[in-house]
Amino acid sequence: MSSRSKPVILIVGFGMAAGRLLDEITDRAADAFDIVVVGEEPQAAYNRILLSPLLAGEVPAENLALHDSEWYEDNGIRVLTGDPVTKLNTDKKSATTVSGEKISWDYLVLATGSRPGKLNLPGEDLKGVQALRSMNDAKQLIDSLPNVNKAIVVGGGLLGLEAACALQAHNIETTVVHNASWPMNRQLDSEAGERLIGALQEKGVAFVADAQCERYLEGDGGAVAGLALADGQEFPCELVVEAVGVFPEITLAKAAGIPCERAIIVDNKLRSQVEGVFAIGECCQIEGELFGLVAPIYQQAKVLANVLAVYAETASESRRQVLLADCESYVTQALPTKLKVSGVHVFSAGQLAETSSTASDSSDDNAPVSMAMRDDRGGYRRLWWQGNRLVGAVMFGDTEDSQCYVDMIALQKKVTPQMQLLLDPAGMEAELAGQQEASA
Amino acid sequence: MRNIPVQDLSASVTAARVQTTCPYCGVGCGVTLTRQREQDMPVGDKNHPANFGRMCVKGSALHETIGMQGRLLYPEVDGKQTDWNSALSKVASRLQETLAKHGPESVAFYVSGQLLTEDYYVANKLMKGYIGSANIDTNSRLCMSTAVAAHKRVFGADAVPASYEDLEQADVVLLYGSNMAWTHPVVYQRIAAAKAARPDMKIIVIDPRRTSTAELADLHLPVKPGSDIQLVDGLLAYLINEGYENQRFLESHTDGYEAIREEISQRSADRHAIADSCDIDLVDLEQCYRWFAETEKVVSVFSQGINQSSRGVDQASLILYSHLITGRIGQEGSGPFSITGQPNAMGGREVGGLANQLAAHMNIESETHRDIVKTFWGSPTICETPGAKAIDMFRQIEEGTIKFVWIMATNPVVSLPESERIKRALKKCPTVVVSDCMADTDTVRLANIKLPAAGWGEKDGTVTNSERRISRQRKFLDLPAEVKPDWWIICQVAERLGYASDFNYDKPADIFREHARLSAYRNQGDRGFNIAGMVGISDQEYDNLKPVQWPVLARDESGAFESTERLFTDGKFYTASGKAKFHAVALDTPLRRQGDFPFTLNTGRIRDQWHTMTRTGLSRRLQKHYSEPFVEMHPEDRQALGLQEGDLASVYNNQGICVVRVCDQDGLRKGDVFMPIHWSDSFASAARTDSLVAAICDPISGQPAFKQTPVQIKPVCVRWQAILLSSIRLPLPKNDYWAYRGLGNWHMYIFAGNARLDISQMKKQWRKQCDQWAEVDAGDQAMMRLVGSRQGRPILWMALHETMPQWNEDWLLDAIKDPETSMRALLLGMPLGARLNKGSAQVCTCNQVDEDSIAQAISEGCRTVECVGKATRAGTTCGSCIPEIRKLITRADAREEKEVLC
Repeated sequence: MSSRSKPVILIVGFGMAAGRLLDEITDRAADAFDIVVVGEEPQAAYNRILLSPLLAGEVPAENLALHDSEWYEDNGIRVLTGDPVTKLNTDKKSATTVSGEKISWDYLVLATGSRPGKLNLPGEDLKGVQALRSMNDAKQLIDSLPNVNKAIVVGGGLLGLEAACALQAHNIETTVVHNASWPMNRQLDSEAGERLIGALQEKGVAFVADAQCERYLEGDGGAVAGLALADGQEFPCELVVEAVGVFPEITLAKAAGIPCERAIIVDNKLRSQVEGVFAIGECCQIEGELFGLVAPIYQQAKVLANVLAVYAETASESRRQVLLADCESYVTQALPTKLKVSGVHVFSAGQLAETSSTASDSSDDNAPVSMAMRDDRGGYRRLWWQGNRLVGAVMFGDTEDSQCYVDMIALQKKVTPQMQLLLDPAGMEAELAGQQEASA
Repeated sequence: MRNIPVQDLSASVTAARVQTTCPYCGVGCGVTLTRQREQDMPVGDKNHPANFGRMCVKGSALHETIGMQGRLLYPEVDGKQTDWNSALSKVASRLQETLAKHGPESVAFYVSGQLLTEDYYVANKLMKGYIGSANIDTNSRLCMSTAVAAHKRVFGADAVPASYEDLEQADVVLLYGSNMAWTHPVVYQRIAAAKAARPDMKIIVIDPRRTSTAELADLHLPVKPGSDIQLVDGLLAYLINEGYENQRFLESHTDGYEAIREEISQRSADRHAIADSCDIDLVDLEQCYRWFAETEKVVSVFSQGINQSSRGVDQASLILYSHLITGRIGQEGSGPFSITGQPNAMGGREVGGLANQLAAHMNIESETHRDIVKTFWGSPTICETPGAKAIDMFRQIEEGTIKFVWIMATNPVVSLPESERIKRALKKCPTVVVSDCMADTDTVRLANIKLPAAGWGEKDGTVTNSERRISRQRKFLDLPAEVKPDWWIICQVAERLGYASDFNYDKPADIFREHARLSAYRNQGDRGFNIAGMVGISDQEYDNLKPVQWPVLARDESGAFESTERLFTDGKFYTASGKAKFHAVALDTPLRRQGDFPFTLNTGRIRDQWHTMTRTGLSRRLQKHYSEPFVEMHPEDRQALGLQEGDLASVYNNQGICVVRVCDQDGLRKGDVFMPIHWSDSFASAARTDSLVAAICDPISGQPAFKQTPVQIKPVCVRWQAILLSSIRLPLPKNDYWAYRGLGNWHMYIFAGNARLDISQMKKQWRKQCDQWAEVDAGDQAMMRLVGSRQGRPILWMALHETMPQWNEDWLLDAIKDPETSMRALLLGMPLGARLNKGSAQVCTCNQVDEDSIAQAISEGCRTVECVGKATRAGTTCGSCIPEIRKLITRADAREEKEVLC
C-alpha cells in the first residue's frame, strides 16, 4: 500500500489529550494513517500535571515531554509546533495555520484543550499577574522568582494549592485566597477542607477563606503590588498566580460551524456532529459533561483510537456502523479525585452531602446518612449513604483501598451504613463478594 | 497483676513446690503447685483421694487470681490506713464498749466456709466462751445448715455417711437439686468416668432445669419447683407399698418408723397424683422409683435444690429415710450424700461455727456439753442459748440490738436474701469490722474497720471436704504488706480483751492440737466428730498431714492416722438410743403466691465463677464463659415478652430489681427463669440476684429458700450499648446498665443507656487520662468508636452501637498493645480483611475454644467428645465443659435427623 493512499488524520491542539491519542493510535493502527499534529505552544506535548513540580524545582523541564522527537519520526508523525491553526474548512477538509500552511485531512481531531479563567478585575493585566497553565507560564514564573518575597495565589482548587506549595518551596511567603469557605470545596467536605487548611499552614502557606477579590494594586513600573479584597483587606505581593478554573477552547470549532454548547458536542464515540470531525479532552462535552482530569481523557483517547481504526478499515458506512457498534464507548464514570496536595493524600468520590454533625430530620428516610473516622495522626474519612447505597466518600491522609469506594459508588452496590465499610473497605468488599458467590 | 499465661500444662513440669487444696467448692481437690515459667501453676494432685489428679476450670485458673490486684494490704480505721496495733486495739475497745453498755447479745461475728478450721476454731471459742454469746453464724447457713439439721435429727450427728468412692461403686446415683457438672465438677467427672466404665450404671437427675449435669443422665425429672417433697414422699410410699422395706434394719437400727409408715404409705400412694403435682411424666416417675427400689447400691446425692428451701430439713429427712427404709446405708456403694458448697463448710461445722452449735459437734442446749466445753477451755463463761442465725443476726443489726459485727471472709451484702436490706442494716450498724483479702467488695465498702486477711496460698491450716476428709491448705506465698492470717487477727483481739493466755498460739498446728483434744475430751463415742487419734499430732506430722477422713480414733501399726471411709457400717447412730430416728413430716407445702410476679426465679452457680467473684473475677479466662449477669428464660416466654436474646431486661419483685441480659435456655420449664448468684455491685449496676430473694427460711435450719422466688420481667429499652476497655479504671458516662470484667491488667465495662452520648462529651470526660484520640463518629446515630492514647500508647477503647458492638476480644487485647496495629483495625476492634468467623461463646476455658470451632469439628464428622477433643483440644484439660460439648453433639444429631426426615 502506497503512503499516498493512507487517510490523513489532522490533530489540532498538542496537549496531553493529543499526546495520549497518538500513543493509542500507534499502538493499534500504526500504519493505517498519515498523522499530522499541530500545536500552538513551541514544544511538543508535555505532562501539564508536572508544571507545579517544575515550578517547585522538583523536576527538570526535559522530564515533562511525553515523547522525544525521534519517537515522532519513527512513527511517521508530522509535528508542527508554534504554528497554531487559525481556520478550518470542514467542507473542503482543510486547515490553515498562522504561518499560512494549508493542511488537508480525512479525519479531523480537535484537541484544543482549555484556557485559564480570568477574574476580569482591575489590574489583571499588570506585570506579575499570570496563570500557570503552560510551560511558558512556568518558565516566566521561575524567571520572576528572584524578585519575589510575597506571592498571592487566587483560587483554592487543586491547581492553585499546588502552585502555592511550589512557590512556598522557594521560600516565598505565599497566601491562597479563595472564594469559598475551604479549599477544594467541590471535592472535599468542610472537615477535610479544614484539615487541608491545617496542612497548608504547616507548610507555611496561608489561606484566606470566603475572599471576594476586588482589584490588583499597582506598584512601580506597571508591576503588581498587591491584592485588595471587597472587605477592605489588602495583601501586598510581587506576584499573583491566578488559578480560577479553565474554560474550553472552542474558538476554531465555533468559527467552522461545528455544533458546540459549552464545548464541542460529541457522542460517546467522540464524534462531533460533522462527519469526519472528532473532539477529545477539555474542549469536548459528552452528554453535557465537561472534562478536566486526566483519567477520563485517557479513556477517551482509547475509545477514539478504536473508532479511527474502524474508519481506516472500511469506507462502507453500513460496515462501519456494524464495527462501531462493537467498539467500546466512552462511559461516564464516577470521577474520583485522588491526589497528593501539600504532601497529604486526598481522595474524593461521588456526592458529598451537606456535612453537619447535628441531626438531620430523622423522619426523612431519604436524607443521606454519614459516618466519619478520625485517626490519631490527623487522618480523616467520611462516607455518605443514601438508603442502602454508598453515594460519596472523602479521605484525607490515609487513602488506602479508596478504589473500593469508587467501585461501590459506581456499581451502586447494596451496602448498609456500617462501620466496617468506613474502616475496612477492602475486607468489606471481599465479604460482599463472598456473600454474592454464596448466594449464586 | 500477672499476665495471662499461655495455658500449656503439658510443658516441662518442674518439681512440685507444694501440695495444698483448692479453695473453691466442697469437693476439696488436692492441688499441686509447680513452678513453670516463673509462675506457680496449679495442677491436680494425683495422690489426693478427692480428685486423683483431676481439676476443674476454676482450680486450673487459680494462679490467675492470686496477684496483688485489688488486695486489701493495710489495716484501716474509719477510712484511714493505720498499723495493726491501733486497728486491733480499736476493734477490742469498740467490742468492750459495746459489751459493757449492751451486753454479750449486742455483738456478733458473721464468718465463712472460706475460713480454715483453725481460724474458725478461735473465732468460735472467742465468741462462745469469752464474749459469752452464741452470736456467731456463718455463710454455711446459706448452703449446709439444712443438711446439718436433717443429719442431726435423723442420725444424731452432723455426719455424712458416705465417701466419693461410693458414688463410683453405686449402680444408681440420684442427684437431687444439683448441677454437679458445674458446681462440683470433679465429683461429676468421677461419676461420668464410672458410668463410662460401667454403662449399666444409672444416673437420675431431679432438677427443674435441664442442666449440663442432666446431659449425662439416663433419666431427668424436670420437677415443678418446690415439688421435691412430694416426689420423695412418693418414693417412700412406693418402697412401703411395693414391699421394699428392710424390716430387719428398721427394727434393729431405727426408732419412730411405725408412727409415720401408715400415713406416708397412704398419702403418697397415688403416683398419678404425684406425677401431676410434680408436673412430670408418670412413666418417668415410676422408672425413677423402680430403679431406686430394685437397686441395692444406690446413692442419693442432695444439694442446694433440696437445702435452699423453706421445707429443706423435711425433704432432706425424707431422702435420708429412703435409705433407712431400705437399709441402704453404711455399705459400699450406697447411702445418702449431702454434698457441700464450700471448701471448709464441714470444718466450720466441726468447730461449732454455727449459732446453734457449741463446738466439736456439741450442743448449746446440753448442760453437759456446755460444761465439757467450758471446762476444757477454762473459759470465764459459756453461751447458754443459741445465738442469732444469719438472717436473724442481720435483722437484729437492722433493729439496733446488735451494735457490733465482725464479718470475716464473706460478702453478705451480695449473698444474703433481701440483700438491699442487709446493706441498709450494715450502714446503720455502729461498728462493722471486716476481715478480707480484697479491698473493695460490696461488704468491705461498708466497714468502719478493715483488716487485711491472708488469702489462699498465704494461709496455712486444714479444711474438711464433703466426704469428711481433713486436708491441709498450705502456704506457698509470702504474706504481702501488712496482711495477716485470720487466726492471728482473732487471737490478737482476744489478747487485747484480756484473754492472752487462752489464745496463746504460735501457729495453726497449736490450734489444731487443741481442736483434736476437745473432740476427744469426755467423748464416750456419743459425739460423731472425734479425732482422738490426732491428739498430740506433732508439728512435723501436721505439716506432712495426708488427707484423712474423720472419725480418726487411732493410729495404725505404722503410726499413720486411721481414716474412716464410711459411717454407720454397724447400724449404730449417734442418737442417745444409738438408733436412727424417724420424725413425722407434713406434706402441706404452702404455695408461694405468684400474684403480679408470674415467673419463678431459680438461682445458682455458673461453671467458671465462684461466689461473689472477688477472686474468680480477676481471671480473664473465667469471665469469658459468661461475661455479664443474665437471666435465662425459656425461648417461648422470652418471645411472649417481646424480648430478643441478648436484650436487657429488668427482673423485679417487691424485694428488689435487677437489670441483666436475657439468654435463651430451652432446658428450663416454661414459667421458670434462672439467674446466677455471682454478680455484685462491684461487677454490675444492678445484678445482685439475692436482692430479689425474700428471706423466707426453713423453720428448723434457718436456711433461706433461694430457689423459688416469684418475679416479673420486662424489657429495658436502651438506645445504645457500649464496650469500654481501658488500662486504668475510668469513670463511666451516664448509663442505665453496666457490667465489669477484669482482663488481667486491663478493665472492661459493658454499658448501655438512653441518654444521648456524643464523642466530644466522651473525650471531655476522659481528657485527663488521654492526650490523643481516634474515633468513628456517626453524628446522631447510635454508633461510635473511640481510641484514646496517652503518650502515643492506646489506653482506652470504646465501641458504642445500637446493639452490642461486635469485636474480637482475643485479637484486640493483643493488638492494642502492639504499636504496629493499624488504627483503623483498632477502631474496628477486629483485624482488617474479610471475616468468616465473627467469634462465638467460649466453651472450653482451659484451651480457649469457642462454640463455632466445636460446631465446625462436629460438622466435619466428629460425633464423640473424644473426637471433638482431638480436633479442637476442647474438653481435653479439666473436662468441665464436656457436658456442653456433648450437648452440641446431641443438637447436631437432632438437626441431622430432622433433615433426613424432611
